[in-house]
Amino acid sequence: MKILRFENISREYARGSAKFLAVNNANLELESGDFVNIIGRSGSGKSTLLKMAAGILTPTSGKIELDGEILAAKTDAELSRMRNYKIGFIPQGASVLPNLTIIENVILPAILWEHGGDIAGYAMILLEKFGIANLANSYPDELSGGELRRVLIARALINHPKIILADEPTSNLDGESSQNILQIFSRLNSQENVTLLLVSHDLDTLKFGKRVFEMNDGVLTQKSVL
Amino acid sequence: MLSISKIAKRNIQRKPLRSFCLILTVMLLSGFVFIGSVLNVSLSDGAVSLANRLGADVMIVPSSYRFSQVEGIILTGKPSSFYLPDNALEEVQKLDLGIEKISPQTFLASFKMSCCSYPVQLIGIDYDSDFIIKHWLGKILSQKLQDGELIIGNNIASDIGEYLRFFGQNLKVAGKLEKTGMGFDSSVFVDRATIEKLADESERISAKRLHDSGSRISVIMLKLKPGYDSEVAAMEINRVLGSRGIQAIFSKSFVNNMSQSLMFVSRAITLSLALIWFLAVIIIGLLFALSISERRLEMGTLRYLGATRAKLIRIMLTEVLMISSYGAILGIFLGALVIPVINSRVIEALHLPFLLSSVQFMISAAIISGVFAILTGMLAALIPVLRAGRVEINDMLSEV
Repeated sequence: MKILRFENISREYARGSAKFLAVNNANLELESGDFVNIIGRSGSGKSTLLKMAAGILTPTSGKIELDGEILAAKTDAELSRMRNYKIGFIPQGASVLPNLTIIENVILPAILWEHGGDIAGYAMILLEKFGIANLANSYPDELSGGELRRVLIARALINHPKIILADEPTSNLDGESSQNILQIFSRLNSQENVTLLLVSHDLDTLKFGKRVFEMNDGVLTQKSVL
Repeated sequence: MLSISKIAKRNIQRKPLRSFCLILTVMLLSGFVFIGSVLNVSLSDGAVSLANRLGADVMIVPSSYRFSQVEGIILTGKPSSFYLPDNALEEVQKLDLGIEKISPQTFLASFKMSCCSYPVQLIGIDYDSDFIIKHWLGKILSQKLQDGELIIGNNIASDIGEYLRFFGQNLKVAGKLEKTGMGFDSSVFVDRATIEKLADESERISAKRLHDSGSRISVIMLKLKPGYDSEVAAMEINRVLGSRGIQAIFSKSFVNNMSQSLMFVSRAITLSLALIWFLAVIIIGLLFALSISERRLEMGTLRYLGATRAKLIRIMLTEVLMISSYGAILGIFLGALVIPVINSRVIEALHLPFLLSSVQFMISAAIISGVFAILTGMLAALIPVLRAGRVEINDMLSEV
């Protein structure tokens, strides 16, 4: 079953009087349980592509389908709901709410829309799975970069999303922390069949995942199946 | 469990300096609106009380007393002893002024006595001819004020049936007046026989006559017949008797003076409140705009996690509502602490009658001030909040 589908997606920006294509006619399909890496230099358009997949940016042309639904047809409220229920988005950097504790940050997506079940309990399970349960009542400024990145992954999983979209998940992390994060993703995919789309300029990500694409000046090309 | 109000509360707690500035601004607005509205109404009630109670068309006092001193006695009850020349009453009665009623009063300042921690104004009235005080006394005293009895003003710390001692005389409290907002609140009223005894004793204690001529009359109150002008009557008295050390003041001048002063003070209070409101709107608006600007990444995070524009606005407005509510409530407490203190100070400073408004009015004023402060906070923050809600998610995240 196709979770994500890009059909001839382009995104145009204006720079002064000149126009350029950040994403140029990209095509991509992800099935349930897929683990796709998109690599490329900074400024190649991979983050732009990911944000379009998350409904944060609108393509200039082309069609994006998420779980069978066309994003262009959605209102802002419908897109917000879709992001909450179906997408676990992990942006670049540590975008946590600094005034909430770690466990509150993990629970946050679950209170924005109606979700049943023991959310706090599941949040603790996720924190335990990533080895940071002891930090549940700490505040973000007390955590290291690697620990915060694990918090973001836990937060992305709280609503049992159809797909995880991660933008530069290992940026600003040391080698060991980067490996830890990528191993977490690998386990999520292999043991729990979580669908993953990662974009990164870090070539270490190539050791993980099932398919690799390259983004070069806005053009997406498949490199290999791992 | 996490909720929108908990997020808002946590944002307030974790930014103590910013929250303090916002709460302080709303608190001052709420407090000043509360105090200002009570001040305005109390001054207005005081002026009405003065106009109602003045009663006399013309007051005759010693010419050595300036208008402002007489005004001060009426407003503050500052204890004074002054006396008209001998035969002043008879001289005035001879004039053709259209006098309907005429009544003398005797003012005697007590020393520090058993009842009071400060000197008190004793006022002796001629019960048979009096047309001012008797009217008030009639409401609280079922029979004529007797020799050896007294009526106390509302500020005097004593009750009906108790005894107060003045100049060696033990006098029974027969009644207590309602609050007037004027000097009468700190005065004590006795009949002529009693005041004569007290005056004799005062002269004996001080070994000095109250007036060289032996006069015991301080003020003569005149009520004119309909159709006679008080200003004309006062001018006639001053013309004929001015050289005898007598001056006449027509009471309309008091009331007009008060009205003008009152209008000035009222406008000053209203303008001050308008300025404070304007400053509050600017400060709250700026602080919130600054706060929102610093929190773009937070807002972007909420949006990409699934918060709609409306929900994001709701979170921010909940924060504003909480801050404004804390400030409004603290402002009401501030007002409740300050208002009892300003009573006597206002009369002293402004020379205006001041009748503290009723508890019901003060409760209403407190609630309205609080609601007004909350609405001001919400209004001031509304524009930056709505603007923030319109920003695209990608632009909010562009700091990353």
